[in-house]
Amino acid sequence: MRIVVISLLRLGDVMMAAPAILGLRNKYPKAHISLVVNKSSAQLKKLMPYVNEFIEFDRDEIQHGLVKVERPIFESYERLKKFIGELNQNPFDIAINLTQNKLSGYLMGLIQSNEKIGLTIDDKGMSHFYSPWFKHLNDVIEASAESVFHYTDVFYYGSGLERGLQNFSFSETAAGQEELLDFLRHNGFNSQPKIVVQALTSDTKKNWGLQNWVAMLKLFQTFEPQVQIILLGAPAEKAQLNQLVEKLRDVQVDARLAIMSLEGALSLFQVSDLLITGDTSIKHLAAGTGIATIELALGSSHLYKTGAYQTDALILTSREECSPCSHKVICHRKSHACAESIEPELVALAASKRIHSDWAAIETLANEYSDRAKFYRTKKLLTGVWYADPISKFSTHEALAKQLDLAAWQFYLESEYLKPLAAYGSEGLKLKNQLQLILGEFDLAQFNVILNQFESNALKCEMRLNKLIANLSRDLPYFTSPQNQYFFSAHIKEEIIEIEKELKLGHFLSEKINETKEQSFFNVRQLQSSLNTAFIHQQIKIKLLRSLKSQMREMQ
Amino acid sequence: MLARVQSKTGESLLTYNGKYLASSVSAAKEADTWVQRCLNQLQGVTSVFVLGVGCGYHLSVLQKSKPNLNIVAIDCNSDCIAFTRAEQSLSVSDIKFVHADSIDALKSNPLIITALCSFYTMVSFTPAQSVNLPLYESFELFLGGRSLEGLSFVSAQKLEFAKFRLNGLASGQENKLISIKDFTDEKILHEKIETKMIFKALRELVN
Repeated sequence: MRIVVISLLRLGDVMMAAPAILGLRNKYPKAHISLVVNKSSAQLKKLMPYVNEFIEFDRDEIQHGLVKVERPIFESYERLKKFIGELNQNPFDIAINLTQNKLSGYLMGLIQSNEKIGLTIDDKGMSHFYSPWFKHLNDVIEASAESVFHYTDVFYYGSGLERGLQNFSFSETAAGQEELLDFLRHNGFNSQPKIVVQALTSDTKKNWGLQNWVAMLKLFQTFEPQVQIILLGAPAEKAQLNQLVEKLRDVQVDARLAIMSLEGALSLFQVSDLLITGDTSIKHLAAGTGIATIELALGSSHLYKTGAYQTDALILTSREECSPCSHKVICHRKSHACAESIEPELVALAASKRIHSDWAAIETLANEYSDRAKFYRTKKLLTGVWYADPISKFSTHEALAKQLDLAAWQFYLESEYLKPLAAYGSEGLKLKNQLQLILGEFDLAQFNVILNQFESNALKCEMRLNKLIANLSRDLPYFTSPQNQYFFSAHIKEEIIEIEKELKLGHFLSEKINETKEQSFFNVRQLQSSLNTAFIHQQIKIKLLRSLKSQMREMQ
Repeated sequence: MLARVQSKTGESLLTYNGKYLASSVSAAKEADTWVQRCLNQLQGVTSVFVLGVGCGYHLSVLQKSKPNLNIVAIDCNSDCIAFTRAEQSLSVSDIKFVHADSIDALKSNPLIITALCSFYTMVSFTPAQSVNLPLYESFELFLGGRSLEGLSFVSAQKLEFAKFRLNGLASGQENKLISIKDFTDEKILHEKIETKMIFKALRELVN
């Protein structure tokens, strides 16, 4: 059997796909698995021995051929055609697209495979997803809607793999171990505890700022004088990190610089106790090791989509309203507000507590700083998805809302709701057990009040959606008549905008409501489809809530 | 006016009106560096046009690095070609030399046409182009299919694009530089499905 997986985004995105790829290996132990990546991700080859073949897509060379006048106009065409020809020399049994962009969609359309999963654009320009998970991902990205699922879970379940067996696994190499030994020897490191700091990210908006790191590490050293501090970076970051080392030396903090390859970094994590990082690919590399992780989710970091995928990672994020911002937009604030709200003292204290796994102290900290920062503790839920649990005595409402949403979407995407005997009962039981694990002891009466509130809101939403869908269908023939420029009445437009806001659907619906009849009727159908999906989601939520309430009644 | 000189490391070189057609310090080292820079671009191609023969050291290194590559070296000065053949002899034995002092000379040369039929790329050796830089620039646009005339000629050599038409570009746009964005859906409407999809994928890389 031959399987090809396409992952043409950045290094971190390829790493987030590791559980899906390992899952494929476990499901098809004898399959030949090829992974198509950009050249810069080929450095993962030695760390992922469960992949038979890394196929490098030379995006840079193809782009140069397109934009540079001195390159022949057909060169990139020939290059891409050759690439596809070589891929198709032996057709595949399964092709999976873990990239959600048009380029990958066209490539999937050109690849010969018996089965395709993920965005595929056919010769008529129509997009197909072949999996409700990837359709959902596309809708969420297009709409800039709030994502409930981590990308790792979407990749995993979209690939048709068994619930709950996600596993980050990168293999150490001899070269990586050698790199580590050289570093330890050179710096006279012994068996004392170590923390690794990844101070820089690829995006300035996600950076916390060198001065914050200096202040934090100075404080941390006073709390934990026996812990050895290592600054981790790639060769391109050496100059900036040397500056940080100098600034730390000025305040009597002894931090050692580790400029390492991914192989070396992986070995380093195996012997260290804590990693503190921004939103970087490094945290995904660390996910498969035993190292505790603190992530500072700043700027455009969406913790629910790309947070540190392991159990008991601590994620700190700002309470600023503009956070998280869009990747494409420059920060509009006078200063880097989200970074400023995460104080060095807070991080130093959190690190000191985390290194001793003192979650009670971390909860106290979370409550103390709750006006400025949000704390999350990551978990793997019984329903088999990753979850970031807000840490705070006021977070019950948020935690419950999030878990309900996750459960309802999972039910929808696994098409469980279509079965005649859909498993609402067992799902409700899992939810109840999950909540008990996460929330511990809780006031049943208060909990029931919250559940009733949720059910009431969901019922109202369901009714509004039902009415809106009916009105749309009723009005559409009228609005297709020549006198009307738009498809929708002002009243319907208003209703759509309100529902979109309430259900946090991003702007997918509101973008479509100004379609004029010169534009495609197809977009109107898409709008109706999205509303139907939202309606079904509310229905599932209501049934799960009722099942959960019934489980709660049995507890009393 | 061409003149024969020596580099600081004793290599035989040419100058044109006093300008060196290769490095006056070490032509061999310059050639090595130039080839290293080209290697990525040459990955997977069948043929390469080298614009500028000059003293030929870069061609010698290129042939050695890529013995199976069809190398077509173009120069507007036949003396440079003769010099290179004499000085480099065996190490450029597989290289196809083309003396061209106009676009028409390129059009009528079978070596050019054969290379255009294949998966080809183009590299320039700038020191050798000082003999007539504007001419080499016109060669670049023509062989690269970046001018209307060039696109018309190049696409006619490729079986796949025998029916290719970039209609609607000609009027008032004779000097326009062709880009991949000109290959819109309407323009490539009559091409094969695979061809159309590849162009769509390529347009995503420049959007």
